[in-house]
Order: sequence, then C-alpha cells, then structure tokens
Amino acid sequence: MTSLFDDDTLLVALSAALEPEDVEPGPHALAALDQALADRAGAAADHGLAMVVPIMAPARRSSTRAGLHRLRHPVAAAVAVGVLATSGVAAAGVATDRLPGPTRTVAYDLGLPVTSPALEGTRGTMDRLRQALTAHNVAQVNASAVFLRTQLAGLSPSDRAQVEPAAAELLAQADTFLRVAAAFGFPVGTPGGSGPGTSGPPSTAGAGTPGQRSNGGTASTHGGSTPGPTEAGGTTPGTSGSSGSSSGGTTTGSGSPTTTGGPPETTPTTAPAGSTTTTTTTTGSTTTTTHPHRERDDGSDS
Amino acid sequence: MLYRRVYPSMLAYAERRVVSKEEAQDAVSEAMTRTVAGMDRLAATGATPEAWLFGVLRHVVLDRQRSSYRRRDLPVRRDVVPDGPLESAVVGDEQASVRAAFALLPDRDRELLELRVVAGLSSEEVAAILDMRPGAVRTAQARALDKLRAVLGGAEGVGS
Repeated sequence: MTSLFDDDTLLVALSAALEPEDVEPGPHALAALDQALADRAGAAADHGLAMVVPIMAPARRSSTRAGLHRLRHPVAAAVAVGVLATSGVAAAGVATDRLPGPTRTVAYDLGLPVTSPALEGTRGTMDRLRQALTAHNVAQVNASAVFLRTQLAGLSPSDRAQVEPAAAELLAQADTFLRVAAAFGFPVGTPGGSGPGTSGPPSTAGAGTPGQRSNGGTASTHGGSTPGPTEAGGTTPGTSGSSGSSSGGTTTGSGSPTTTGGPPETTPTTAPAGSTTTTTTTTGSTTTTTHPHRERDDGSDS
Repeated sequence: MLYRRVYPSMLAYAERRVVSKEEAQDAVSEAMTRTVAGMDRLAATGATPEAWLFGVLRHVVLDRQRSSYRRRDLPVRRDVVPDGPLESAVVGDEQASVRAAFALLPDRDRELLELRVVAGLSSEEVAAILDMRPGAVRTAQARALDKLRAVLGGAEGVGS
C-alpha cells in the first residue's frame, strides 16, 4: 500500500478500482435515443412514418407523436409503434437527412445514426456537379469536379464506397465536358457569378488542382471579398487561358471566401480558351464575368 | 460509437448517486436524449461531447435526487463498496481498499475524482461541469487525494 502514497500511482489505482463494468446501453435506451433523434428532426420523422404506414399517414406534416395520435385504427397504430420501436435506427436515418451541418457533426460525433458530414458534403458537391453539367456551366463544372476529387480523397473507405461509382461517372462526364469546352474555345454556359451571399469554393479552378479541403463546415455567406490563395492554374485575372490544362482557363484568385466551407456554388471562374474573364471587386463582393469570343486570326482579342 | 463507449462510465457515475441500477440506467438514457434534443447548443458551445454528456447527466442525477427523498446521502452500490476499508486492507485487496476509502470521501471530492479519473475529463471540463475554476479543480483534486491517502494509510496501519 505504500506505493499509493504517490499522487500518480494513487490516481492509477483509483482508476483501476473504479473502472466501470463493461456494459452497453439496453434496447430501451437505444430506442429512446432513436426516438429523441427522430423527434429532433421533426417533420422528417413524420416522413418516415408516412413511408411505413402510407394509408394511415396524416396528410399534413407534423411530428411523429402527433402522427401516431391520429392513427385511429388500433391495429395500424400498433404496427406503426412496432415499426418505430424496432427500426428506430432506420427511421432516425430518414429523420436526420435534414440535420443542419453543425448539428450533424455533433450527432455524428456522438455516434448517432446519421450520415457523416463529409459524406453529406460530398453528395452535395455531386448534386452541384450534376446541375452544372446540365446547365453546361463550365466554371461550375470545373470547380465542382476539383472540389469533389478533394472531398473523395478525404472520405473514409466506407463512405467512399457509397458514392464512388456515381462520383467516378460524374467526374468522367465532367472531364469530357471540360475537354470539349476547352478544345472548342467557347463557353457552353456562363459562369454563375452569384455575387454576395453565396458560399464558395477555394479560389483555385485549375483542372486537377486540389482545392481547399472542406469538412462540410459552414460556408461563408460573404461573396468573398477576401483574396484567397491562388493555386496552380490561377493567373492574373483578365488574361486568357493559356495554361494548356484541360480547362485551359483563367482563374481569378481574388474573391474567394475565407472559409473552407461547403462545396462550391459558383465562383472560380475558368473560361475556356479564347474567352476573357474579368473580375470586378466591389465592397464585399466580387463579380466575375466571362465574355466569350473567338480569337482573331491575328491573335488579338476582339 | 461514443454513446456505447462512455455508457459504462456514465452508468457507474449514476449508479453511485441514485437508488437503483434501473434508475441509473434511466438517468443515463435521459441524459443522452436530452443531449440529442440540445445538440444545437452543444454544437454552439464547442464543448467535447464527453464533457457535455457528463454535465447533462449530472443535472439529471441532481434532479432525480431532489425529487426523491428516499435517500439522505449519495447512495453507494453494495457491489462496489465491500465491507469497509479495514476489512479490505486485512485481506490485502488493494482495489477493494481503494474503493472503500473512496466511498468515505465527501460527496464533492468523490464526484470530482470520478469525473477526472473515471470519465477521463480534463480539469477545464470538470471545472465547467462543477462550476469551478480549473485551478480550483486541481487544488481540490490534490486535497481529495490527500484525504484518500490518509484513509488508506489509516487502514493500512490497522491492517498491518
């Protein structure tokens, strides 16, 4: 016992003496947790109930509890309760689709059955890339593709496995699209300069150049008057693309949001070869416009 | 999963403070559901989930203690505390001796040591939970260890 007269040793002994039993939360505790999570997500939980018992589901969206109270048929109510009790995790998974970013991060840290913030952010970028491809928005396609590659690299293996096939297909489409856009030298769409109030990506738009890492955090809502780092592919604003990359583009280094937040909405302006990009910085915002044109035979701009 | 990882220490903390194991389980479950309900605040404060969970659990336990007059002192589990420090020292069971000596400490000292040692929280996190300053936590911890040492020393003297 004399060894216990040292503080550190005493703490170790105390830790060993008080070591809790290796127990796990029981089914009731987990069910309560799932229910709390479903309640937390509110309307989305009702959506889950509607999927389970479509006939009895209330027409108006409300909380799960309110929905249950409206179930008049006892058998249907019993089925609903049983399903909720036994498939709480699945219901919660549905319910938490709408958790805001910071809350999702906390929920994920707590070990709750929610999609990881990183995976959620990656899916968001994939959606933006799809939209950009549909809209033939060169700048957005380029920025989203770069961002998506960065996000994919940061995913856990299990998360990556969930999105990799679709992401690979999307990226292949994006690469083809960008090659064609660069080769023909005219913009298929105009960069969606969204100005103030738009979250944005890193300030680089060079094809294949990793952008800033996003962890799904909160993106800045300022249009980005703070100059961001100009990475590879970035050149002086207003010059025509001459880098020879697939985007062949010009990257405007200014006007990048200062955060490493969400996937790109717009911004890094990459114009196909032969177009001119101009950047106008006003108070608190940056407006970027790409003017499509073909080079004259003498090589001078129009 | 964090909940599963911290569940044993949360349950042990609650068991030492409420009447029954079932009530302790309920308290931990309630703490977790309260945490889920208040996730926004947790996200806003930037506290670690572990510290937050224990902070919430402490409030849940205190609420239950206030609403119940079944006990006048913090309950101590029979399977945790053996017959007493003297008996444990005699049989040479060091861990049992430590547990018994720990049970003799004032409530506040026990709680502080438990949060530090069992929950593994930092002085700063414990300070936030107990509404103290981090320096005061360290001082109180040293004082509690002195008391524990004194009890163990007395038991050892008698035992030997």
